Amino acid sequence: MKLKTLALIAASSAMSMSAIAQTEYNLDIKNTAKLTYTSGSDNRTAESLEVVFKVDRKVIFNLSGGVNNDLDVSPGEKSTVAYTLTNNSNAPVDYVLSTPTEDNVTYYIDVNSTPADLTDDIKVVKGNNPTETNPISLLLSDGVTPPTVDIFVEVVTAAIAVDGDSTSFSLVAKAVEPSQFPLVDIDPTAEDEAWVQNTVQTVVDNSAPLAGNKGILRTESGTHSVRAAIITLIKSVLVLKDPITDLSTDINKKAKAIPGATVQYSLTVKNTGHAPATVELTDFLSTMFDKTGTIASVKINGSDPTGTQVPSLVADTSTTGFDQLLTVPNVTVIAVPSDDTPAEQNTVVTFEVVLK
Amino acid sequence: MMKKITFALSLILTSVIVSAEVTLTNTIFEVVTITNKDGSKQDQWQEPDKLLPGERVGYQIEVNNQGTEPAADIVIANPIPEHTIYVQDSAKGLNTNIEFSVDNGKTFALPAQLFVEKDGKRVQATSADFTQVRWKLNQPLAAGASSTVQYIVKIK
Repeated sequence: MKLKTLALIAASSAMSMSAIAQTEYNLDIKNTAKLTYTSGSDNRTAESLEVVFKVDRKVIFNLSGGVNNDLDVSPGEKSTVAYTLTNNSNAPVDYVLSTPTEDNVTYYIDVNSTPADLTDDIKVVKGNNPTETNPISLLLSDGVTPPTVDIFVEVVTAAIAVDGDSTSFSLVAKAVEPSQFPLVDIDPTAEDEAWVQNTVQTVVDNSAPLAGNKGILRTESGTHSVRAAIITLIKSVLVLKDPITDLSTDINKKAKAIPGATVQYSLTVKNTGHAPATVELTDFLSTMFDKTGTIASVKINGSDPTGTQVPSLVADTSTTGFDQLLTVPNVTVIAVPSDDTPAEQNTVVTFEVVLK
Repeated sequence: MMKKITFALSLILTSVIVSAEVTLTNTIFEVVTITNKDGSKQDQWQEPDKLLPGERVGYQIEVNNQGTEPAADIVIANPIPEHTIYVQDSAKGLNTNIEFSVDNGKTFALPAQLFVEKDGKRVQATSADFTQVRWKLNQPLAAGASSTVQYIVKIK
């Protein structure tokens, strides 16, 4: 018994016959040998019986692409992965796609080759799979330019999705007999079944990954994971100095919140999510504070603000007891790494006021 | 009277018995490459197993002289079947001169002497251009003897 390795045949034939068309299945290959000779002075001829065999059918196809099967996405993002279904068989083959199991996944079959506009293309969604009654039909490959169709997997991530949410898909293409309804799976000829000269037998390629050793299946899977910032804000206060307590003479002395004391507020922007964030901090400042030096005192992670991080202090009496609004824009906080080490990232904004 | 009849009969018998009678048998095989234990590769002619595009088919033609006289000037001609191409250097036959045709058997020559026209230019023919292969046996085939020639094609 000989094991027919279809993938090797395809590879070797591709290397040596890339410019030569592929023979369609079921065609007859005929050969008759002829001979001339002399017997004495008599010229004679002879001819063999005609040897005829049918070219068998090979079913081999690819579902390729998906360089970015797994993606990081943002809440509200529509992400797409592109695949190409290619029929390398020497016979026409129909294909049925699997049905998405998630509501937010759509398979678009780009039958009119307009990747920029999928609105008129065939859509496969959870609960509605047109390919189960009208499979994708691809003609036989001539070995030079095999027929293809593009399939786009679209995942729409909800706007309310949070960091760590994900959507997975498993796109399966199954080869079925062409032009038959109800659908009929392609049934390969057993590898140990003897060759029959004038009958078309079928060989399939079982070598593709995720084919489950079924030459009639190809699978591509992916997961789109939400990466979003998770922000919490923590405010704390510290008395730096007061007019009376001399902190220079004894490190154990602590300043007190008496009139004239310099008070430092810390706004800690904590991010426990896997996406960076840029925030604008605002803080109503009490009428009990002298804010003369507040703008100049603003620090971000201990350094002066830079670029567009220009703090401002404007009059605002919308809240009883407060007369000014401090705004510090474009404060950035980086993302938690994918290995969650560390588990949080912080940006600390500090500013000072003087207690009247 | 008797003598004449006998002589005529003997003449008839002689002309029936004394002649060459050559038959051809054409057998197909699948040619596969096997890897030996030492890693070397060789071709093996096997019973066909589902013949597909890209696979090689070997034709073995046996010439058998079932007559009582030698058969001379034996020339065996085989087409390269449609939907196949000749595998270079695969034609073999002991004590034969092997030539090829690119014009469906009108003319034959050695490969280096064969040319075809492509894109308006006359270029050296390749094995993919061959339409026929021909063996000329260098010596007569004795009565009762046989000879075998072979060649390989690849299914497009």
